[in-house]
Amino acid sequence: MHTWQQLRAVAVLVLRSLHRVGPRVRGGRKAEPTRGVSAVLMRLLFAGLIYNFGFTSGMRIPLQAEPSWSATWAALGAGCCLMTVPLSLELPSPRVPTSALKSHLLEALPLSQLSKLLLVLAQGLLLLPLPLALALTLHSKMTPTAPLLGAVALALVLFSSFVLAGACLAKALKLVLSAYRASRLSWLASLPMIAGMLLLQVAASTQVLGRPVMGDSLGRALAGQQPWPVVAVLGALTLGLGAAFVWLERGQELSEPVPPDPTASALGEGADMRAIERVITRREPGGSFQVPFATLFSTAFVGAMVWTQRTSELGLSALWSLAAVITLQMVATLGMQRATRAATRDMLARPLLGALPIAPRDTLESKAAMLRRSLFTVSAPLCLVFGATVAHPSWLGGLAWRAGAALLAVGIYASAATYVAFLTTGLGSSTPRGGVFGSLESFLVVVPFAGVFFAPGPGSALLSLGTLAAVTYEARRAALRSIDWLDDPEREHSTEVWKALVVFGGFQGAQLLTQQLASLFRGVVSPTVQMLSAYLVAGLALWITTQRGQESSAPRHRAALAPLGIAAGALSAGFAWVYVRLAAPLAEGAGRMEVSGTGEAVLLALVAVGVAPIVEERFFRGWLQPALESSLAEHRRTYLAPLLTGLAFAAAHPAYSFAPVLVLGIINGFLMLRFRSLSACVVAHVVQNAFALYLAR
Amino acid sequence: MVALMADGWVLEAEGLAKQFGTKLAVDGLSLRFGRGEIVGLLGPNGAGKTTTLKLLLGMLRPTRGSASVLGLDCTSEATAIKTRVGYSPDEPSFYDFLTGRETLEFVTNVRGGKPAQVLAALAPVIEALDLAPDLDRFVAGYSLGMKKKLALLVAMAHTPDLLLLDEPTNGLDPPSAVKIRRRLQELAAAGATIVLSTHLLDMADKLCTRVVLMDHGRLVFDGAPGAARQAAELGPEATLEDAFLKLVAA
Repeated sequence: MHTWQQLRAVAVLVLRSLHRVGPRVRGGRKAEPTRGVSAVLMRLLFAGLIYNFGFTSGMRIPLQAEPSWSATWAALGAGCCLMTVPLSLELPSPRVPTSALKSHLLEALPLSQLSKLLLVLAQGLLLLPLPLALALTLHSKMTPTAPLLGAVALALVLFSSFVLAGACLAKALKLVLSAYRASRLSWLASLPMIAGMLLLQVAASTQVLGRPVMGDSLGRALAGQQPWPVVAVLGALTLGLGAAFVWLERGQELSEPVPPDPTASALGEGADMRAIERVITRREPGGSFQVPFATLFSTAFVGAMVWTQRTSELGLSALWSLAAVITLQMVATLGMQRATRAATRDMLARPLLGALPIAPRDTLESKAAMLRRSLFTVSAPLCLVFGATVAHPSWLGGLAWRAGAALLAVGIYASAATYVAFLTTGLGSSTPRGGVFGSLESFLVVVPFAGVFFAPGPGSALLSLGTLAAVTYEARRAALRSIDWLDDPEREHSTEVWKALVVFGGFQGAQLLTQQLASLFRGVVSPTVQMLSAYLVAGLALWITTQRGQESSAPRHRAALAPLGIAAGALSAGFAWVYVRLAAPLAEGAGRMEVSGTGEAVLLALVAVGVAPIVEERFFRGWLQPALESSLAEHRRTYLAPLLTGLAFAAAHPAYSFAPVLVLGIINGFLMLRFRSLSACVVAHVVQNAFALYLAR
Repeated sequence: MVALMADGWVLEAEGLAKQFGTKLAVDGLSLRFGRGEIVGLLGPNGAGKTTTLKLLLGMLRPTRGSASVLGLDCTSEATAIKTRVGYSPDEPSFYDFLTGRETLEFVTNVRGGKPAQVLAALAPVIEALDLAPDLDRFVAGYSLGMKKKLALLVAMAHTPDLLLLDEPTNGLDPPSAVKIRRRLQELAAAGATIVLSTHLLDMADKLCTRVVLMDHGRLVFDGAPGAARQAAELGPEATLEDAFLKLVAA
């Protein structure tokens, strides 16, 4: 009875953490958790992204020559990713943020082993969509007639066994090395994540991994062929690992003070912030080994890829994709982890730092510079791909712009990661969240960053670079503003533009998530309907959010401006017509939505002409532009707001329609600036979209 | 209320030692505390007071020696000990996303108690500590003093047989500190044993029936506050602080 009561208390705690620990998109002056839906939405978004990762891998696996081999490797990859969470949480890292569920409060409570197991599994809950997506996608692609229950059960036991394996590994490390020495190795926790993601990517892309040593029964079970024996084996493994965890836990110390290192004064190495930052970073857990280790790791992988292409015809695109995936994962993981740690360190040392004469700018820039150096080192092996030009000299041109853009993006990303970590985890956060992974803010940065690596052409790469630079610039402004907020809580936390961007990140994430969920109904509804429904749901979410944000200063509704809107729309459509005639053939990757049947055509028209103009204008002209105007008003450059909003508006659309959308965005921006009303903007948008539909008919 | 052992000791430690790397934090500590005692654990910074409290609660494993609380071994029966011992750390840590009331409910549920009853029983203490208006606010917004008060409530919620308090009045305003002192005296009168580590020697002098002085992990003195003056060869007019300084210097 008591055990049940305790388990229920722990379950309620987990649910409350999922509901309450999250971003505070608007306001954010009080250091209080949210009681709203933003935390749940953020978690849904994160779960959606994770699901998407498993889904895309699962879609490609059946295309491989030996799907069951690939599926086995992919399952192992997913398992490695799952091990990361308990590893990073179990290894005591006093200087690294911990999970919302980890608290010293538990140390003094008579928590049963079952409750501890529940907490360990709950901490990894947000990664459950990964094995679930893999199992469900493989099931629907390979054995759609088999019962779904097997796939779900397999995903659950895969999740629990690997999470517990990670927890046991961490406990064993602590037992063998002592809690303090184990904390020095906490950086090891990022390795299973990197290795897991690589395994998943490579398993779904090429056959280079061959037959798994352990056989392919796991892969066959994932593909829906006799899953129950594998479920039984993994279930037994889960029970065994649970027992091992309980046994290891029994001999563990719950807390151990960390004795200080015999450190020399950081100031002795030069009294500037960069030198201090360098010394501190070196002395953190894994500070000296992490970058060389990660560099060696990616060198080995990229080198192997380049070597493989000498004998097999991978092709420039496939070779670059694989090298980019490895580099991107190393840089993104290491960057976010280090940035988070640096931000947390400042948060813990606030009483000391607050009293020192250090300019906020220096605090941030020294961290960004340090991270930039580390990330350049880690991404340097990317240059190994030039080795492939020995066999294929014609690849040189294609590789040069890709590598150049990628390295430039790494430099910008280092700064962005620092600012985002500061805003989500560190001093600048109104509700510290214990990590930046999975936050809407990190999503905003990672999407254009990845966009640079996988751009189909130089134009798209430039567009993604520009977006990344713009987001980074605003993140920096928001981070600096937050420092002022720390000293004076009456001042505004973050910036309005940054808040608007975060909301937009949520919109795009919601769209992605809904699209993936809609794809589960493949065969029932067409891809076009899936895409349009996703837009409708995300659009509704954006509309509600912007509606809430505009209670006090909502733009006026002025029907008299409709003719002006028609004229503006005609002007913009005229430009689009000229563009399509002259420049569209030059555009990269121009896509076209396939519409079949009257129903789909009506839905497309409804979304393009009815919903999109209202939702997008409300956000871009109704919210983002006023935010930009207030920022630019200090410098008397309000006139730049329509241009910047137009750029953001165009960047949010596919690359091939960048120019016409930019023109519409600028025209509408000036209409908003002049008349303070969305009416003309919405009408112009309707006209433009109607014309685009006419062109694409 | 208190489950007395056959030999009458609530807490017993024999040759207790804890080593961190090369540093010996606690060095051969032997203690015996009886029912209803209020013991002040005194000593300079780094003397091993917090480590001793954590060893007694089973949060750390001793390098050498053994300790038992209420007849239960501190290492192998730590979970059972925690159901009957209350602990308030020096730096309390809570879930920021829970309110004060939810924290008390969670703690009570984990201990197997009835939250409504516990909260009703704690109501006078909550009122006395002036925490009632903030009990439904998130802990994230609490000041250090409020967190200390909540930590004390968490420690006392299940009317434990033994209270281990690390700097209980640190960060509290003087009126609250006085109320806490009175509450501790009431609990001791009801039979609970209280071990508190503190730097406030004046408070220890007024509150404690016994003081244990530690330095560099070793026991320097164990006895009544008055006996500490005698051990330091000081007169009755000398303060506990004078005795403390002399004994530690020796």
